[in-house]
Amino acid sequence: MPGNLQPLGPVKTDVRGATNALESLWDETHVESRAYTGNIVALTRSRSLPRVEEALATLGGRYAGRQIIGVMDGDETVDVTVSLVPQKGGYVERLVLDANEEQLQGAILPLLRPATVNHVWWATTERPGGALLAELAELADQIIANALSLDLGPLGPHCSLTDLGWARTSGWREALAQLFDPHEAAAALPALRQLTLRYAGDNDLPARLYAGWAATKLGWRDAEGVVIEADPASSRENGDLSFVRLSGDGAEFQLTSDQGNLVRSTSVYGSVRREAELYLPALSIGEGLAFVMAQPEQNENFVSALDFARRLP
Amino acid sequence: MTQTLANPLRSGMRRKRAPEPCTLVIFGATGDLTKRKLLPAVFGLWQDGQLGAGFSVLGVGRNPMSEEEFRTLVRQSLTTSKETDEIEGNNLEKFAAVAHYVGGEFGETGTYDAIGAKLREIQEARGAGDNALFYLSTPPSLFEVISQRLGDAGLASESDGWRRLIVEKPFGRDLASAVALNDALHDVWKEHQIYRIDHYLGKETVQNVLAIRFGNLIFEPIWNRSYVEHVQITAAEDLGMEGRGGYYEEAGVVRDMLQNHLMQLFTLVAMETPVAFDANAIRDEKVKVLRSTRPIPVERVSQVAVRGQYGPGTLYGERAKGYREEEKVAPDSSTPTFVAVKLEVDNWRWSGVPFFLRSGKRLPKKVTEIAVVFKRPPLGLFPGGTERNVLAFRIQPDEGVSLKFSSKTPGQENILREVVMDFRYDAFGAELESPYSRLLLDAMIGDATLFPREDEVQQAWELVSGILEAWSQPDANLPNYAAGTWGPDAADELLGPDRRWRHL
Repeated sequence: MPGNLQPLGPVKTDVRGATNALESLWDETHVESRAYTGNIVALTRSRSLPRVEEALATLGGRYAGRQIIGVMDGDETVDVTVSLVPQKGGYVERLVLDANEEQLQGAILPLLRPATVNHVWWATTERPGGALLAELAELADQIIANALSLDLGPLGPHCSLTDLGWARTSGWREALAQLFDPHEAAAALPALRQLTLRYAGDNDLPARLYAGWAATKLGWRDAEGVVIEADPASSRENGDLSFVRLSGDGAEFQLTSDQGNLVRSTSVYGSVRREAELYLPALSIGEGLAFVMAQPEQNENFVSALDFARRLP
Repeated sequence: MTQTLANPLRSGMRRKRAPEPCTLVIFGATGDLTKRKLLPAVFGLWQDGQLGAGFSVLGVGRNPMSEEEFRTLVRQSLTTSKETDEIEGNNLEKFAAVAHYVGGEFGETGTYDAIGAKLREIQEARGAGDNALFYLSTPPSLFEVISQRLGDAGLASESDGWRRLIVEKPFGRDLASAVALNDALHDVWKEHQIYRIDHYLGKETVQNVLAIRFGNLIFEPIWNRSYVEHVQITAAEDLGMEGRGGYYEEAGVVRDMLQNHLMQLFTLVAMETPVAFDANAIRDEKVKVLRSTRPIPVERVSQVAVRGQYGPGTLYGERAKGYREEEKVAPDSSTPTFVAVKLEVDNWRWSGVPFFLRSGKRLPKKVTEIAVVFKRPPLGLFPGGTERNVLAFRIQPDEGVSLKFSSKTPGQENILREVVMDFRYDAFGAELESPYSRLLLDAMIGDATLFPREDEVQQAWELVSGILEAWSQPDANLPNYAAGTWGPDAADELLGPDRRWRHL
């Protein structure tokens, strides 16, 4: 498969003509095989559309071969454009639909590729909710949204909830876990009672989920030892963690963001003092989507972290 | 699988496959395999964060070399190997900083004292624990002495952490030498510490054979003598000797491909469902297949095996030398460069279903494929007869799976035509990882599923012993196929009537 594929489209069409329009584009590619790996429906506003399109452009076809972007600013008329977006190894289908929420509901449902996994991404800063999201949730295998403010009823048994903020903490979770891989470091864990977190910008959601994860893993019943603070001096992206410290009773384990994507780790326990540097790049939105979409099933770690985060002051 | 269960932060984590902090000790650190394959594979794992902050590499070589000179070699290897992932930021320097070196003769005890001292130093500095993985990327003649010296120096002892040994192929050159090598290794190492590497098993599409067989219901019910007519396994190479004539004269295609790579593919296709997806359960089933395979004593070889050697020919529009004209090859050599063999598995599942395996040098293209060829429908309702369905696993290139079946062509008449439903791995939109990175990570984790066990290796040698013995005699008919063709005619005849090799 060539590595320098060119995008095909966008082609203006309507809901009924969208599938045929996509087929015409496929005919131009001379690609014989396609992977029907899933649908991702991104619900957004026109001001966020470029950011959403950019994120989806980096999402490999292994996660979703069809991307449907619903722009919820329009009116009764459903404007539809279709295109084939080049990805590593091939193309993914993209449909952009612009209409009001009610019209989008009747437009998106028939365009979902059948018999495969459906991911629904609430890709706007507004509080997630509404009839359109509720309808899509019935067909979804996974909802990706700000989980702490989600305004939906209980999700069905086949639908899981996740959050890009959770994905953004994945590297930091791995980094903290690594500090306790040596058995003697793990032995210090029961003595640790304080968790201090700092985050860049004003988005504390990832830090709250991170605190929930660490606290539940350590078996803490309450949030008494948890401190979450903004770090205005951090140059990392809004919401990224910049500092983690677990401490107590003569032991201290710390991760501090350094220049660029470096994180400096320090472990102090007993007679040991050890420092190391880790490469911990911030996840782009596309990488975050890939992380949560790789395993759309319910993640117990996330569920328990979310439950704890909801109880944080 | 060894897991740091004492670390609650690991539980339920997406990346379950994180090894404990450890040091990878590579014997033959300046060799070709290390530079082209091992270092890029380890770097990829390290850059991806899979090895953790406590990971280090310790190169061991005969050449005296400072640590800084070795780090320069590491940088050069990573920047020149085609297998290196894109290097992010300052990672080349950071990775070089975790690389260390010890120089010395592999037979001298002082070398091993220095290795022990360096491991302790790394442990202190990086919290690597006492875990070490020793990779023997050296000529096979050195396997025993390195193993023995490691034992003498107490470096195989698992008193404080784990110690493991990866042994490269060839694992012996016949049954007797493989048994002797196993015995020598077991003088020092327990079987659970020994990882015999066959990089074919690290390939995604080889593992996909198990995934497709045991992860889907629709294939297993027809995976037997009631539905399968025969199985073909092809591992074709377009290259000739490329300067390796000296090695090949000793090895030949039976040792180079049949005893290891082809036998591994064969066992994965023929094995029964394992009781669990773990190392011993899977290897138990693979061994059962080899034990069920009808022996090939010398007197049966001419009936079930075909040897070939390429003569001059043409390939890719260029003239290609014959094997005997290759560098370091005897002008009257009878070393086989092609093998086709018919294996018969005498068990309830496969009785009467032949498995045809073939491999050769200077064939028309580089391709590895497993094809399960099904029986024809019992009645031909349609004009023109019926064809056999084929489920094919393409191991390389264009990794994927295809299913061939018959479909009605459009029109008034019921004319059938063969069509192919094709799945390509690249449709996933992801680069396939190096088999070495998968296998190295598995060895660090302690997962031996993809490493052949002692009895498996010995059974495979036993199966090919008769062929080796019969073919040790000169053959006046060689060379018997032209470079750039699909091997000798006798390989076609081996299949018997109404069968043909897949057109690849």
